[in-house]
Amino acid sequence: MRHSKRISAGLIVTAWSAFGGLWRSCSSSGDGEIDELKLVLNWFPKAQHGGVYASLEEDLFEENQIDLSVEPGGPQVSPIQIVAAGDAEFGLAHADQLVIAKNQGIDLVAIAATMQGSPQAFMFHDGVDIQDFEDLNGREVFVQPGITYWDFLKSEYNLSNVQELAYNGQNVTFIENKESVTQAFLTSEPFFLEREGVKTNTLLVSESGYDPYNVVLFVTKDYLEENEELVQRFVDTYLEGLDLYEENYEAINEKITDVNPNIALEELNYEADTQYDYVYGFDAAEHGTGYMSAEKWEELKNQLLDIDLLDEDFDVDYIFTTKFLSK
Amino acid sequence: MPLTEVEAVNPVRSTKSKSISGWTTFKDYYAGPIIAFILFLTLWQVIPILASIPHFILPKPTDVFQAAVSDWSILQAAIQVTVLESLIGFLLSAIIGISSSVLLASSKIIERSLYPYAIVLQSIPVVAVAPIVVIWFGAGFNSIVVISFLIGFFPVVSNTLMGLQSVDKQMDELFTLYRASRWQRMLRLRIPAAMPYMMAGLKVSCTLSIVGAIVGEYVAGIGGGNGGLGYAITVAAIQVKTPFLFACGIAAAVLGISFYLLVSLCARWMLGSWHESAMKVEK
Repeated sequence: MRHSKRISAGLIVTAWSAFGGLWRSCSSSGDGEIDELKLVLNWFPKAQHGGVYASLEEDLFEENQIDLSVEPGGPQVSPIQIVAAGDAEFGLAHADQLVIAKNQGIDLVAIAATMQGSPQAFMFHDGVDIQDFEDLNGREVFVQPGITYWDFLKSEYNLSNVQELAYNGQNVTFIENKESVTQAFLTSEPFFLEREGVKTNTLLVSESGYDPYNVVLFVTKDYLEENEELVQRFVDTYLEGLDLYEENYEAINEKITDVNPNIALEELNYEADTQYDYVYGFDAAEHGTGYMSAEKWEELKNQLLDIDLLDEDFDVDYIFTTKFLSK
Repeated sequence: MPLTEVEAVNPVRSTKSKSISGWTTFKDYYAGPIIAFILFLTLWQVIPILASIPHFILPKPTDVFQAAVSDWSILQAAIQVTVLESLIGFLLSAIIGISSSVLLASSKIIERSLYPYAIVLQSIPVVAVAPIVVIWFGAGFNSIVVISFLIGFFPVVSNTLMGLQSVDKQMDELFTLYRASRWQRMLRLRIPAAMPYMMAGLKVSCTLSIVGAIVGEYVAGIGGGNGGLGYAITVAAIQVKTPFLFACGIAAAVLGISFYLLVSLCARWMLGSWHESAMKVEK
């Protein structure tokens, strides 16, 4: 059912994008034309997407002649496939997802990084003695099936004695089992549990040396080559939004709760606080928001090559560009 | 004169008709599906090429086959796990389903009080129940079996119950005439009468138990080679391995069909000698 839907959608999309591409190339040549664009988020709207909502709130996209529609992500939504199929022009995803997509011949290019590192972590009950990744042995660990960092950790550390269970977004089983460990985002889950009266500690995945850009803005290679000027306008607006969010995230967060009523304002504020360094600190403090470096992409690529998640080596210039980051 | 002619012609005809009948059964029963299958595969192979649909949206049959071959070890392990889980789930729904419908049928009061709740249980979508089951039974094997049982349970109950209640009236009166006890009536009359219905319920339930196991693996799967098809599907989706995703889906379908055929075979074996539904109808 899902498959058949995607197939018919894919057929329509290929036909439609062919027409759309023709139409757009005719229409966008004229000045003052508005470009209709779609952005797929990597998750339901949250503080990670504050930049987008800040730009929307301040009408920055309109000022730059962009009519943007935002499509929320979710556990079963793949921004990679949606953008690759031409269903949307822009998408947000983890950096490692772009590299893995290359295995399937999907050529995507990262054009800006929202987060300079990864706030992914393992969360465990307060008082449990976990200092290092090898201490996960002998425990139940809830981790999302197929998530890249877990493959990395398994190859770096001896985790043969871990009982690996599917992470499905709910933490009840984790709360019940005091010795268990679950994957978490430093910026949200510990806060949710604290509110439930459960004290936790975290071990950051980045301490293992695996620290890819957590959220990157990407387009397909073909789209980038044909629409450089438009991509530039989009990135400018996106980054301007991120900078606006820094100043008045509390007001923007209220707007986010309008589009995603399932997340509370205080949760968004906590997330915005804890993600601050990831977005505006680290390399971004010196080079500006959105910054990406070849070294970091190179490191990620090599790590994925080492653990056989990447089939063939390639030049990292192929997968990211800093051309649109003006600062 | 005409008699001898018939005698002379007949033996030739009978051997000929045997080979002809083999061909006609093939033509009537198997040729159609085989041609449809080949046509379907060809279209599936050709359309993505003509419409230049990339393989991560619609993989060709050859892509799917390649993915299944190259990741065979993962697929095989996943199938084994799913078979085990759905088999236990199915057996549970058969045993608990049949015995609870006998209980329900034994008294009108029990039936009236409990049957509505069986319907309520059935009308809750399994994906909504699954996370709750995981909370109660913990992530992993137990939860998956319970989810598989929950989804396969109701068809058995509703069908068996209907069978237990559709006893031939005259037979029923005969049993009354002989002053049969309640349990004699149940064992000798109602349960045999319910058999065809029971089998129909089990046929539905066996395919549903696989659906249940896969849904269970989605929410409560175990990693490290014990994941089952639901787990493999999640991994393939995250790593954009669409051809392997198809391979897993097809494996699940094949599993469902073989399970169904197996149960049908058992049903035919049990009903074959006496019930119309399983006897070969002569035209």
